[in-house]
Amino acid sequence: MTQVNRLDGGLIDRSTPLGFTFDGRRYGGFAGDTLASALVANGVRLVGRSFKYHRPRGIISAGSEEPNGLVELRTGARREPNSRVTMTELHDGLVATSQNRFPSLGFDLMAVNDRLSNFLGAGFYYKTFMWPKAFWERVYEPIIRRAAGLGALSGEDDPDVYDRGFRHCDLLVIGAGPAGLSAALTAGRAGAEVILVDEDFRAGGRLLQESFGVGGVSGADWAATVVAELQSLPNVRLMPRSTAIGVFDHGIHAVLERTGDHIAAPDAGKPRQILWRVYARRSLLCAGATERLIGFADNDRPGIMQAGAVRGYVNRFAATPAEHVAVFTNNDDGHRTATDLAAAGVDVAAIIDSRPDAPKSEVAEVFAGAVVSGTGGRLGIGHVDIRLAGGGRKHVQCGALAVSGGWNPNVHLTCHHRGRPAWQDDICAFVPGEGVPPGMAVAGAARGVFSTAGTIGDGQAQAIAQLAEIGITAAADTLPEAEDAPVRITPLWHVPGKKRAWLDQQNDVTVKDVKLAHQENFRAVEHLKRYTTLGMAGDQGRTSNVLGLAIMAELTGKSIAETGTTIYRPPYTPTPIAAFAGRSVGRDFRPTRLTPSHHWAAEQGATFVEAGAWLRAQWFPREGETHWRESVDREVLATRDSVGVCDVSTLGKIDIQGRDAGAFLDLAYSNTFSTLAVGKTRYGLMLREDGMVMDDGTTARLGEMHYVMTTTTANAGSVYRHLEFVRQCLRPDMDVQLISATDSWAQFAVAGPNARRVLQELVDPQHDISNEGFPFMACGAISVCDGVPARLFRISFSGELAYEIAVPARYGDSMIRALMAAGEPWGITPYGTEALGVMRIEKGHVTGNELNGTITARNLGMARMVSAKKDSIGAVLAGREALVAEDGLCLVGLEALDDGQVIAGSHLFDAEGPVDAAHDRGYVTSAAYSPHIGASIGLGFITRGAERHGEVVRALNPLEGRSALVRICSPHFIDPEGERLRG
Amino acid sequence: MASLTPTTALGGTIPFDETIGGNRIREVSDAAMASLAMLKGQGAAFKKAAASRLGELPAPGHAVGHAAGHGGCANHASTIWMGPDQYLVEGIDAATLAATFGASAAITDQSDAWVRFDVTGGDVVAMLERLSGADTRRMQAGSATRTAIHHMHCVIVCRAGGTDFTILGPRSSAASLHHALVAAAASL
Repeated sequence: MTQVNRLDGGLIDRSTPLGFTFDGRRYGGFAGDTLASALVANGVRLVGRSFKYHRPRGIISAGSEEPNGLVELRTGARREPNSRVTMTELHDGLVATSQNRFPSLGFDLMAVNDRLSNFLGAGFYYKTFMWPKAFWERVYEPIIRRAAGLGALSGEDDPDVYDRGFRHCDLLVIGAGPAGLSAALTAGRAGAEVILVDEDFRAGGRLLQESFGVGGVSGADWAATVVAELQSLPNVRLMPRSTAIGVFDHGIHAVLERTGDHIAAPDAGKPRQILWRVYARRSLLCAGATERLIGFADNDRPGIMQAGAVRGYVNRFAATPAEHVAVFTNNDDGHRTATDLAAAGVDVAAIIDSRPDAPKSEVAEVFAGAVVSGTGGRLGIGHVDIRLAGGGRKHVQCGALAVSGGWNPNVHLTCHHRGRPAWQDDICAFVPGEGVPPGMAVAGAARGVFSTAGTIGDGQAQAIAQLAEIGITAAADTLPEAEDAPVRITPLWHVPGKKRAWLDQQNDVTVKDVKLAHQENFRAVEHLKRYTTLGMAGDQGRTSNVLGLAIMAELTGKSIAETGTTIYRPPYTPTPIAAFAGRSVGRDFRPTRLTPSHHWAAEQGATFVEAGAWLRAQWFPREGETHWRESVDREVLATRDSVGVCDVSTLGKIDIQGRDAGAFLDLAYSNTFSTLAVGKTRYGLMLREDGMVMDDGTTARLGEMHYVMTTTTANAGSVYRHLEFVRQCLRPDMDVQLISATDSWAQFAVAGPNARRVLQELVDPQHDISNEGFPFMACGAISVCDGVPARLFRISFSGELAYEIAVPARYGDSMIRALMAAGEPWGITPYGTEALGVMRIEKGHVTGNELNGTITARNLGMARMVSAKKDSIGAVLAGREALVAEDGLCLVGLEALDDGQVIAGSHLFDAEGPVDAAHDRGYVTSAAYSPHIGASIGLGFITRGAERHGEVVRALNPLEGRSALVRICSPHFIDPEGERLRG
Repeated sequence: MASLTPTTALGGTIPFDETIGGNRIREVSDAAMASLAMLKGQGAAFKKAAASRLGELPAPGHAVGHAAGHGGCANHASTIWMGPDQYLVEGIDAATLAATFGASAAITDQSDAWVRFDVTGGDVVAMLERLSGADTRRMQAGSATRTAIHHMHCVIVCRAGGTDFTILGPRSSAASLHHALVAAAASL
């Protein structure tokens, strides 16, 4: 339990000890530790097995770029694989398990893959597992797929809740290191609305990991002072544990805030994470830089780390990776690690500096002009092999090796709009180049300004410049003193040798793979990436990309600048898909719309169906009914026999007013509405510009300048949008205003021979709704139940004597109950969408099934509804040659023979003859069992349909191997003369 | 003759009223609302009628309070900008407006088209930040905007900066909007 590698000092809180478990063993740590630092402090070097070769792996970094330290966190349904130990805040009781090993980390059978590495190089599955062909899908692919991946999902639903959120600011500062803190302070003091985000739980960035002072105090103390001032400013919002994962259009940034990952579990109802959409007028990327390693033989042994990470563990977390640490560097930074290690009492075994002019060190022997040519050790590094400048060899024992190959500015977000970074030779790094998202600037190490004084000054200067662009003046306050060392680096990307040298440790890509890609002519960086999978793992190649393309540049003889980089895309770090979903999960995926009679229908035990966003009653089962057909048949028979009631509130209702309302409708509908009398309704056909039927409905004229259009339920939104387009864009000269009235009114169809009798119980007596007073297709404003305002429309979808009665939605529940009570003497029957569908098919009324976007008025038998006397949308193109052909599709009714079943979607073929596309005569669009006809019927389209009534054809469903004989007939199965309507 | 009793948008007889954390969410079901849209070429008559009944007309992004007509809730009766020459008027019933504006405007009763929730408390903006992309932090009394909340077309009206807001949503989606508000309040 003792933390063998714990040091004194650091920024951890020793007054709060914490316990955690890794692979079943209990360890101790402190508040302020990450899981990584606690593992380091406990001397745990081995944390994982690599993806392909199952090589033992250890933590190499102290940040979000970590490729090896990936564990499963938590247990049960909340278990999450591939969690980076460096980004996991330690809390009491944390449970972590290593991945990708069987049976254990220390003894992994799959390590045999490492022996087969010659067969598992880049692109292996295009070469090795090619024979026999049959084995690929049945044998090789399943095996490879099972072996692939690192961690495993729990397989259970994610029980956590995720929120989405929206914030606005003048300046979004991304990163709270020295540059970001300086920028936020400058902007905050100027009164700008500032949001400062950082992925860490504590602000300070590299200041927390280095031993530099700032303004006479430690970097950490200076950061804390700045944070305190920022917290006191009401115009500044600090967001720790928040990663900016992407830059989108119009200054919109995605920020993932981890509100519940640092505690055992979030409280009920509280989100685990929040995905913020931050609308920033300007943004400043202060994301710092990521240290590169160097490629050399066996450079992936546990204990080999970034030199900057070693400093981080020592200075911030008071943990050393080992008792004896060697350093391998090509720049001055490696020496800092040696100094800090020594100051903490850790032995520095050697400093191997590849530069012939390497400086001397006070804390260890420096081997100038030397390189590490190999390492040894089981399950972790035990020694390094050094090739000296003169060619001699040396062997140095150590438990850790700190490697510094230089720093890569974290330019990723600057490339999210397809920007490309630019190579800067003097620091051997890519810096932001062309195509930085509009409104974004970059400060500090993220643009190659690496010294502490440099970053602080740059943060201030860039903030001032950004704010000036939006008219806010910020002051350049005196900057604190800090180190300002120049960058001194001599490039060394890899040490040539025979053994494999690792580049992308998460995807197990080596220098050898890059050479193979080059040899096989996959030389462009985009090909290199995809052929070798370099940079395609969860870390997006943050520790490997530049090394890989630098080596490719060497091989091709091009410069690194010419070779370029691949594109960085959001998200910057792995993000749970649940965070993108937010609350839109399951039933809440989209809003649900309920009809005014919904609660009443639920009381009746109705079965509901989703019609777009609506829930509609589909049928109302009665006691004893066991199959939906029983209910639907009963509802149809009862309605045609006596009276039925159906909630039709979902149909779109569009209120149209203005002096040109009639002319507007004449343009939007193919037939004429300006001539419709006040108090009348008319069926209308609406075409698309290309002549296809878009929607149909009835429109009522309630006044000289007042119409109400109905649309189908499904097309309410699109028709409204279309009409607004006509109003605003096509005919802005017309005097017409539109507004949706769908939700305002509860509307019920009351249909059947007794419909009028029922309504007379509720309609106030001063309104004459007799056949003479209110004939078929009449409409008007009336009142019901002693003065409640209502609208009555005598229209019929069912083909029976029918009305639609509308009351303000607040009375909808009460109205259905009143209708049911009033209709009781006549056995009024509520009917749902299924019965509605049976009845309209029986009458040959078309719906969306028929109006499928390829059907014209002519196909429907309604060619005359496209008026020749006026222009209307779609009229011209409806007259195209192919659309007016004599043998075109024609709407027909279909009746199944011999107790067969008409199936919607079937295609129609002559009774005899070939079945192929050339002989396809048409298709079935709607089908239902008609209890009145006593057979399965349907509607469909068939060529020359009008001439073929009485003919028997085949309706085929080849996918399911089904076939039926159907007789073509009139689509009006019941009451073809329409006598019931007019009674 | 039967008589009809109204229900609230959530389907009950008593409006929803609950305090969650620091925020109170209260359904308001007795507010009259009407849509008002100027007809073409009627500018002079429209403005005259507006001046007499509504006072000042709001600019985009704003709502202007007016003396309430009958049928409204006395405190919050304002004209809300909804689009060019289009407004949503609280607290005055459509018939009264029609009498004032005559043929200069297209008017519809909107009292039953919306569900209205008034949200008050110390934490309202924090709650609204989980729901809408509108800049609610900057809204002051008299700011109003159309916005989307969980894919629902809504209107947010600020009654007092930071502490008092009205949220209007489509009546048919009342249950979904209610769920969204309650979940947002509970997640703070």
